[in-house]
Amino acid sequence: MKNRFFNKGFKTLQRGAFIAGALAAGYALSGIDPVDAAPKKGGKLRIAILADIGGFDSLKIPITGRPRAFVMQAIHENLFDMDPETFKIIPRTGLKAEASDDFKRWRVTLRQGVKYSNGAEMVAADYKAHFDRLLNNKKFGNRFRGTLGPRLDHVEAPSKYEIDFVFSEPSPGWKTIMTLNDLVWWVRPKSYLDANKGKKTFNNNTVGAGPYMLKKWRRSSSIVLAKNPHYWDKANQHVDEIHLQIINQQLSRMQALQAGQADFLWLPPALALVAKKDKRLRHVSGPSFFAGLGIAFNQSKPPFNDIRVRKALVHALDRDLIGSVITKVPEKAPTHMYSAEHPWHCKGIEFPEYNVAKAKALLKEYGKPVKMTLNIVALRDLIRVGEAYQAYWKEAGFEVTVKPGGRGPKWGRAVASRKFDFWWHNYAANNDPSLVGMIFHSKSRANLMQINDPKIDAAIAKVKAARGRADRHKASCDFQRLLVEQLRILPWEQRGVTVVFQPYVKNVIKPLSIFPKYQRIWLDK
Amino acid sequence: MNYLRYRILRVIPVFFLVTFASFALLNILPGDAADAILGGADTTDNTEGLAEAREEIRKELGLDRPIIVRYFSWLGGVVQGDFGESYVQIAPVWELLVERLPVTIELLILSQLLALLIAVPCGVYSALKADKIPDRAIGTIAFGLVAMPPFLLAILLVFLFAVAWQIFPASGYFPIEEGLGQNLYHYIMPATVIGLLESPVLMRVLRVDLIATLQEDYIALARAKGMSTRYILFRHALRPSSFTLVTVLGLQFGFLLSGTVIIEQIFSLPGMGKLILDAIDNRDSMLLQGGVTLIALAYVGINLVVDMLYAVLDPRVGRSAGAKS
Repeated sequence: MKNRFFNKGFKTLQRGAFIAGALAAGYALSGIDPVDAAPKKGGKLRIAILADIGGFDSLKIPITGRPRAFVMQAIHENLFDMDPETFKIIPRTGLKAEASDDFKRWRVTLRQGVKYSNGAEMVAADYKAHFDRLLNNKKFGNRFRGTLGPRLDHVEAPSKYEIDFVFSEPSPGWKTIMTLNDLVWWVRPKSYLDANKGKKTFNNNTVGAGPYMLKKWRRSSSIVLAKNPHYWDKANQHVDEIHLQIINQQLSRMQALQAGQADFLWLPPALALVAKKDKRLRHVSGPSFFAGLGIAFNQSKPPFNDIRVRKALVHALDRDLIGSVITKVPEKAPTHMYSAEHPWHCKGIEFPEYNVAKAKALLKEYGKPVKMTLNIVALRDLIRVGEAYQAYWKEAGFEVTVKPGGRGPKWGRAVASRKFDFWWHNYAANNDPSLVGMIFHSKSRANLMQINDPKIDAAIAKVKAARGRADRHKASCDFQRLLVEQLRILPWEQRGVTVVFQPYVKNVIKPLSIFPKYQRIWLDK
Repeated sequence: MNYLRYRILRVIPVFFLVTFASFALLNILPGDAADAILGGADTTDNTEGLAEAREEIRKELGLDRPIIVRYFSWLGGVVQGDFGESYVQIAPVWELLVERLPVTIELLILSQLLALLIAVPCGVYSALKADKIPDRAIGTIAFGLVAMPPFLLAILLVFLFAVAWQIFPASGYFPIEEGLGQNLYHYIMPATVIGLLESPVLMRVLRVDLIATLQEDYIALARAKGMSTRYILFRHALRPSSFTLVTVLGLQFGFLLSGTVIIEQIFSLPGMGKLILDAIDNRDSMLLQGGVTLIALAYVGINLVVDMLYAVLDPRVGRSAGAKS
């Protein structure tokens, strides 16, 4: 009896040990450390970033751009955040956002008592002053407006703690768009704007309501952030200082982490694969909140206005293989604007399969030779993908030339001025369907592919008019299906982001975009 | 004094030639400051008002004026210490240059000191043991180093000393005002890479000159007087054998002012090379022009110093040049 009881007890212990072991193994394999109940305060978080910020004046420095947004999110907090697990919207400095019936006006109620690092209280008038300054600027107003997504007309401050965003078109996804951390906006107190108006040093400093404030900026070398003494959410403010070291080479950044010189950084997929093999490091990956990179084509004129040509283009490519070989990361090529982990992902959408015979047959049916020049930014990886595509297309009978060029402003200007007919394209942010829709609508200024199809316009209108998550998702997926049926897009990759960090770095939030959050990290040293 | 005046006078036309050539070349390149200011345009940007904004900015900056007018207007500013403003970094060019120049100069001084520390003893020893096994061994190592691309040596050192053994930092810059120890600690690897790669050239030229000097009659006389080899080498042979060494050192210093870009990139040092590369990438013409001017001036200045050193090494040089002028 005693023996049986002992055996049973021993088996229970064994089972318990197995479960504990499995849990421990699970944690180890996931690369995520269990988060301790009590975060530690203090310490210095060292992050290696890829490039300098250029400055702090949103008027002179474009508001988007990875390094800038990455730094700014710790200084200027968002109105709303998105939970990376549930994708629910979390109030931050904004408490609630309500839309008018036509979705042309969004009223955001601010959290009271939020203070900037200079001690001034955050009020709606700051938002109005900030947006008035940017939107009404003759030279840069349109550039700023273009980065926001839906066309923002102006901002009003109906009361001390209420902001009205007024649009010239329906903007049902504005609340979600506000959670993008590349749209932090860098709002500063109106008093600060007034006091520093016209000063040459205005671009060199900033004041925000985020958890950290600028302590030191050494151009092209480093940025030091210190705790904002007036931060409203002290429970989420842990390390004393954040040192952002500028290291321009991706490989050097990873080596800095491996050498113990940095604590945290994000990496592109190929290097993330290498970093994941380093047992000394931890990592977390998240879904892509960008619609992806790919090829865009002018669909208003021959040959790309013909669906047979567009289909032939796709049938000629083994997209999965090319992507895997080029990026060194085996993955399925994107089929639409939302990756499998994305909250707006649509099931059952497939791209035409790789079939050279079908491509040739379609080209034959089209009856004319198809000549095209693929314009591509002169970056090594892009050229490699372009040349791989070129080889496949040639096999199918296309006459294609790859033309590297541009880089920097020249490229943006060439695309914006519709200079190219066939070009490498970044399909932009996709955290809400209304953002995706705007680049395909015949009346949209962002419709660079010059699509003019009533069916597409109607599908976008349905996306914008739909109410409620389920209806919006259905409308969005119908729209995505239509895009793929008509082959209006040719995405080649849609990568998530991986953050890699030292084992003592805790509270790492799963990255939702190329701007992973780091401002709530604490160090267990 | 006459010699110095003569050398300085020769510098003036060089300065005009270099600055105008770079100014003209930058104007030939596609894209201008207006593009840089409007730059960073996302592909989803709308085009509304873009052309008008561009024209307005060009007018504001005087880019619609003829090139010669713009050159002299810029030159007028430079003479008064105003190098213009970087439209991309939104800061005065002079401020940016002054921030970067010390980083590169410190790197160059440390690397050239290291190169000399390696080159002089090795060169002297090689000359002494000319065509014997030690000379050949040193020569082989030197040729091996010369053949090695800088990035390869840099990556190798980073892998060994930073990633694997974690002795030195993999990259980054630590300002001297925040601690000399840390500053030097961050410079060890990049300075070693440049120093190691520059030393073989210095060593070989010193070796050749020294071998020639050691065959001179006055050296034979010194030997006959019973002076020690070390005394003869360092007291009588090294100085007259240093002409080529000083020339090459000066040329290398000038070249490296903007030529350390690969090392600066790998070790993330915010120096001149990186600044100029970024300026080219961003079509930041004002900054590029300022950088080119500063490097040209530094180059000319270094050559002036080298010329002065000739006169120190051999006073006959100064006397003959002074007589000519």
